[in-house]
Amino acid sequence: MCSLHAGRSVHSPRCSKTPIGIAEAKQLPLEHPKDYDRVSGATSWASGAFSMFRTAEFRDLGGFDHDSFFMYGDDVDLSWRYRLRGFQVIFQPAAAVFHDKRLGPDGEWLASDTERYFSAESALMLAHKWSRDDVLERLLESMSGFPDEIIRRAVAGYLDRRERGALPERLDPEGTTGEFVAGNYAVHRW
Amino acid sequence: MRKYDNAYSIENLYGHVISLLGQHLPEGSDGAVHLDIASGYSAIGEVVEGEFGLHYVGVDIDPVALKAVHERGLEVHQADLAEPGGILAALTAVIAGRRVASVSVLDGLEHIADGSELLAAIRAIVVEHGAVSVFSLPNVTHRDVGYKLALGSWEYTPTGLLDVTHLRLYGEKSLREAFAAAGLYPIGRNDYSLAESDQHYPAGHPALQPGTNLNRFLNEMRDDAEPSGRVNQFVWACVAGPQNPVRHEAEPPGPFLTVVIRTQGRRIAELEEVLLCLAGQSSTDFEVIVIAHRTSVEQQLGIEGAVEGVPGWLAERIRIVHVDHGNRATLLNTGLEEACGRYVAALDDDDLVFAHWVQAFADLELKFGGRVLRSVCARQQADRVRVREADATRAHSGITMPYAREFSFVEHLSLNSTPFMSAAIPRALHRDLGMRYDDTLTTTEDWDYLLRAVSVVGVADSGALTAVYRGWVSQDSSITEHVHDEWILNQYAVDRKLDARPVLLPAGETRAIRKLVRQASAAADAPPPARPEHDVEAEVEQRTRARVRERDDLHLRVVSLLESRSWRASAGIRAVGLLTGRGRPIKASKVLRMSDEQLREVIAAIESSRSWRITKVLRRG
Repeated sequence: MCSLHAGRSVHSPRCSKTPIGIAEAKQLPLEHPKDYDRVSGATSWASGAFSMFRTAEFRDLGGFDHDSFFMYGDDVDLSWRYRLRGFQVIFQPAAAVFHDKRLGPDGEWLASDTERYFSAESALMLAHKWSRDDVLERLLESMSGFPDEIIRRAVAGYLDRRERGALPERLDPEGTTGEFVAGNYAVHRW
Repeated sequence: MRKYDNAYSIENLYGHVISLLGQHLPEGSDGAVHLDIASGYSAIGEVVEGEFGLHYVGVDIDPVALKAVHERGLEVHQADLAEPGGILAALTAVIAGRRVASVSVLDGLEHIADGSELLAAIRAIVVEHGAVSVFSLPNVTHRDVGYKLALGSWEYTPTGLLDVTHLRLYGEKSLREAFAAAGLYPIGRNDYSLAESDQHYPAGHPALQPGTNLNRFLNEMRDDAEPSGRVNQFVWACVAGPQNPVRHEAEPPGPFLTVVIRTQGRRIAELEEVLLCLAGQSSTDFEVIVIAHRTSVEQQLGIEGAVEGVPGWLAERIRIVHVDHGNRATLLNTGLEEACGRYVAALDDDDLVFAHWVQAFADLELKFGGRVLRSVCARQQADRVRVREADATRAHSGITMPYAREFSFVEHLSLNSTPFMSAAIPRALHRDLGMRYDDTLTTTEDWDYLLRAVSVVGVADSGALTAVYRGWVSQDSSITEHVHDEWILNQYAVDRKLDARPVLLPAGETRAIRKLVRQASAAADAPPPARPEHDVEAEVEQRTRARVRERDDLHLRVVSLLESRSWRASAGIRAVGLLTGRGRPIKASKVLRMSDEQLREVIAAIESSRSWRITKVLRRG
């Protein structure tokens, strides 16, 4: 098994004998910026936009955590649970899939309210679930002061769940599996 | 002089006819008949007999002309060749069993409302005797007629191109169609051309007067569109072939867009990605022509494999065309010739397009059909990797937006800010105006075409980001294969072409020119104080010219550096802005507006940058 540490690069080719849990195809025309090993393809997490995994292992892991993640972050969480179980997550750029994403005329992301809300919520849920209190505290602090009301509502939603005891069970108490790098869940290439 | 009684001269129409006839007269024609139909005053009669040893026989309806010719000792017969139903019989009677070597109809066909029966009769004689036929006909599409007609003038005259007695008017296309329908095919031509026809009046007409902007502009357009603008009379030699009537039906409706993909079959993984992007289009109103250039069998198989891998609906719309000669422009011209779409857009085999690439163009066509359609293109550095034994591409940077969002013709005169995948060109420019890519250019052929196209039809911007132009970090791409000296030479060639012809500016561009001139004036150094002993005006002019030359040199240097293989292979355009301390990437369009000092800063920053030094090895020569 390969160990990953926050802020460090993804697996090395030495890990190639580790069983593969998820294989992700490359999305086009906009490739995801997360880094992957140029030889083995090993990466932090696989996007749910187009990934493959064996049914038996998927069921054994309990599938996607739909209780904690309504939208976004569910694929990151699943990937990390595979890795926690000793599997590799692989990105294979030779397998390409078209994903109809579009940018604004100046190349900017055009995130809807829904996307912003659930992205913020899933960030908090991932930091909680993957035992990264340091990340969680930073996120809560910065998001609470966000001028965007949508983000502040996501924070309120998280705090409400915490108060109600509706947060998911925490995994990986040492906090060594989940990668939280500059607001992303992997080292990014740019 | 009697009407139509024009004497033979080597230099005139009849000289052209005799010269052409001499080239195509069958072997062993001595003593055989030359049948001259609608012979009039038989201007070629004696020449045909004297030059070729033929026996001249004229046929006409005009008794006065026939009598005059008969008195010269030539054989003539009277027949009404406009009367349907018996033309071949009448001509057969005239031939009277003799061997015919050649047939001519000189300026006669246009006097018959329907010449099909006469042409059919001539074909029958040509077939029976193995003869050659020679025709001359006035060209109603002569520049003088066309330009005046375009400006509202159409005047019949007693004789000439618009002879009041002409019942049918011919241009090159309609003449070919009439001949093909009758089964006659040109095997040689010796057209009689006149720069100034009998329709070249009134004197000083701005469209006709040589040297006026309008005349030069019309001439350039006409010469590209159709080659016979100066032909006064077509002089063609024809032989018999299959009868092939032309059906004047509307062009079958094609798709909105023809996508032309140029490939050498060396980047199959990238080609598959282009095709994948096409499979994801929200509008499927397009066809695809893959132009395979000088490919080996293995490369062809790779291309075919990539095409076979796409969904069935798309595979049905893809044609692979092999081209074994020429350059990048040749391939685009092949694409234009093969295209069925109303518009044509070109992709290189390593481009990426978004799902609304076709749709954005199609939406523009609804409002601005006929113009060049333009969207926005991003740029991204990419690399090639081999992951788990499989070759693949890998994005190496985020996207940058170096290209202008809105098209400016004036700015495009100095810098191309429209990568070709972000433009859709009306196919009519090629079909109707003969506009082709210039295959003397080894690069910048797309820029050259874009400028010419926009000048004629204008442009419509969508503003939507619909494509990604990839620059390759470690391997060649279509643009980086060419060293920057070659690029500059091509740019000079484009400049020369633009300078050599009047250019029609899209509406609003004069405002852009004024703005540039005012900026340049404001930025220019104040002229030196006047000194009485000097010619002040000459000195200012000299200094201005020197400044303009210096600024041109600076522009070219920056442009060539930004486009150079080694710079593109390094950190990318956006780094320039950082290097120069402005902290923002350079948009190509901004280069034009930089002061001289800023341009020098950019040059110095690039040439002293680490990436420039590292990539020195990429700068050939």
